[in-house]
Amino acid sequence: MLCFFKKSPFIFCLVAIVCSMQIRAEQNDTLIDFSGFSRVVAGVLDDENASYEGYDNSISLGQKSLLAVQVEGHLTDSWSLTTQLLAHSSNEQDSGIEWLYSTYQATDSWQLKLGKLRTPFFNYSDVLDIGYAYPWISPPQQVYNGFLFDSYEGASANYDLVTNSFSANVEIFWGKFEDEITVGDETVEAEVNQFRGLILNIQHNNLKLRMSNHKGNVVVALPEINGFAGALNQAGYPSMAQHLETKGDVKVFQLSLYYDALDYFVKSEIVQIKSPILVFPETNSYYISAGYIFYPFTVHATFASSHSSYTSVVSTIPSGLDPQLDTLAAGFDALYDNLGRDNLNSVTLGLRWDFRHGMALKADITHLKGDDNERSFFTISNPTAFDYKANLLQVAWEWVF
Amino acid sequence: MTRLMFLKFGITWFSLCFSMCCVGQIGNADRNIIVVANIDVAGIVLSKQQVKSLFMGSSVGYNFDVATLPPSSLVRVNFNTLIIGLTEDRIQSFWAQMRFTGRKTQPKQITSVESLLEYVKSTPGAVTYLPASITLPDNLKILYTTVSL
Repeated sequence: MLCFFKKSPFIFCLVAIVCSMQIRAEQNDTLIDFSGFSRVVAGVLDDENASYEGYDNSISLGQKSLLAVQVEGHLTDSWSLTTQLLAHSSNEQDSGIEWLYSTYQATDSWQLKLGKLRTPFFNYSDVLDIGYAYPWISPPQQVYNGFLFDSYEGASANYDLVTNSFSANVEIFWGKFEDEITVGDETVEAEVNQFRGLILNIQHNNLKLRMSNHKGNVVVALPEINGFAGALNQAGYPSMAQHLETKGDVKVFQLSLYYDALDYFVKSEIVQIKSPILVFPETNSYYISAGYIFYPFTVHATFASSHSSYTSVVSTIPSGLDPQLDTLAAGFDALYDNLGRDNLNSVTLGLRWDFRHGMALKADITHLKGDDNERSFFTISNPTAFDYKANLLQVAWEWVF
Repeated sequence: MTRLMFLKFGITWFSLCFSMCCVGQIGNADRNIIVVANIDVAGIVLSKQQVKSLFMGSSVGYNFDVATLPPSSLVRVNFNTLIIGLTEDRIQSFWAQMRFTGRKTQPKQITSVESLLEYVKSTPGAVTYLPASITLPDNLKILYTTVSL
């Protein structure tokens, strides 16, 4: 427990503030709001040779179902404390405190937050657990996959500007992250320092533009790769060793354009991730989605695509001269050959029914087509039989309260 | 699950989509809306973009205390249609995103037009929307109207 507080000074500060708030609550009429959200999602993949997002060819309720409660305590008119406790049905995802932060509404236009916050990489990154907030059951995985971490500890500032013809919002944040991250089906320990971002939202009538840029110094714990890089250095091949990076600045750029009319919408988002780290490929992904609303029903169709690549490195180790060098060269080639590439196209057709206030039922069917012999976000159990095509069917019940 | 079952699901899904009929039609009675505020300053006129932003949680610079009607209110449906340009469930989706990311707080809701009028009348800085046909007390000023639309 002490170790937890030592590692998380922001959390320690906030717990202390929450305690003081409780004391004040006994003296004053501090207002506490309770709210929450829940979802039950069932899904099945029509292929027995692979799984996708945890779904295989048997119906599963356990991948995305969850329940969360948010408690917001208002200390004063401008200062509040918020925590969000979340229970995931999936063992792959952490349950517990997802948010714990203090908000200071400095003016009508300026808002400051401090604590454990969700990372606002893309449009729906900070509400991925809240299915009610978006039309799909799962936002396109090519953009919203688990590659990027979902929370950080730090501070953010928000500024609102409204003019006669447009409204704008600027958000900046700074913080750090230290936990496990998932790349493909591998989980690695990662530390992200000097994590910062700038997000700009501009809205004119029904047209909304979002642009963001994020950067962080990432260190991933991959001792095998560090060891192999050491062996290459010792053998006199430092130029090859430098490609086996396990630390460096990862940059994420996002651009989206949404048009929301009364009875239809068009949404598109494009994302680019650049990284010097070996296991993080350079990734370009996007989706385009259109929906028609005949209230209380929405039908929508989405095309999404991703392309990931690694810097091509040609081995300069001579072959046939020394068995040890041959082994080193073979190891280097094998390492590059085994790096996963997530090149996937998908088409999703979905139906959402807002059957009562705060509740919706959804059904989505997604056709997935990955590049042959690549990872393509699949976890492949039988590579020889898998044709890199599959259909994912999901149904969901969404609730906010 | 076989591909045939997926095909059947797809056919059912499309049949369902095309067989559903549109609901939630709004009557052609007086749908016009006025946005009014309890302020001393005269001459403040808001644009449609400003009104939309104000009721979607942004500040337009006058420190307004925003109050609205509940989703079941026909006046709110008219306001959503004419000003916000979104159906109620998409507005609720927006508020879910704002609430659970701590960005904005949904305006307070007052159950009826009469109670809302009473609240705005007695609360300096309060702002709301009302049917354009309503008789306003002297201390409320109109910031925006759809009547000319």
